[in-house]
Amino acid sequence: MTTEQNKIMGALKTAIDIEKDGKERQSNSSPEKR
Amino acid sequence: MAKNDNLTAVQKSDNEAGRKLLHSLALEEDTHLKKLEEIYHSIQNKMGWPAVAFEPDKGKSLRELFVGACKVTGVSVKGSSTEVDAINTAIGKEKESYDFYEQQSKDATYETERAFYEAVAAEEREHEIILVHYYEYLTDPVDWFTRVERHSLDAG
Repeated sequence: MTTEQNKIMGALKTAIDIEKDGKERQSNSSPEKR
Repeated sequence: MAKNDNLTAVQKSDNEAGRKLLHSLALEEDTHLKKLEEIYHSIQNKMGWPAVAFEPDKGKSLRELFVGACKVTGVSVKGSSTEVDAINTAIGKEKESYDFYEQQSKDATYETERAFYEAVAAEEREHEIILVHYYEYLTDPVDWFTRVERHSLDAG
């Protein structure tokens, strides 16, 4: 894998972590969890 | 923040507008997550950025749902200080996400990569704006309704 591809994969991993965090935060406030 | 602590107040709230809004935001974050995982696995297998179908509605349905729920609840909404603080924190998190995706779009190698990150950044911006509206609605509902009646929520 090239440096460029490593950079892209690293950014995607960070983005996935951001979305998991966001989803968990919002889901814990949803009507279904009450 | 500790991931879930501050939003406990929102979770326990009887505020339907807030719970509906946050549930919808969670669904959109889930769509982002699925697309990102799809791209990640595609790059792992094919070593290139795939074409991804991702066409957000620019917050239209989110705004309609939110305004509708606020109209039902009206000006008698009650938000605890903890709930208001939690929304404020969530606004900060959405801004951080927007900044990250905006930077990724600028650093993108592929055109499809740039377009994808731009679309996600735009949606995160919509989340931030709608949460600011929710914050304003909770803290001063009369003023918020006055402003919404004067200007469309589309004006941001």
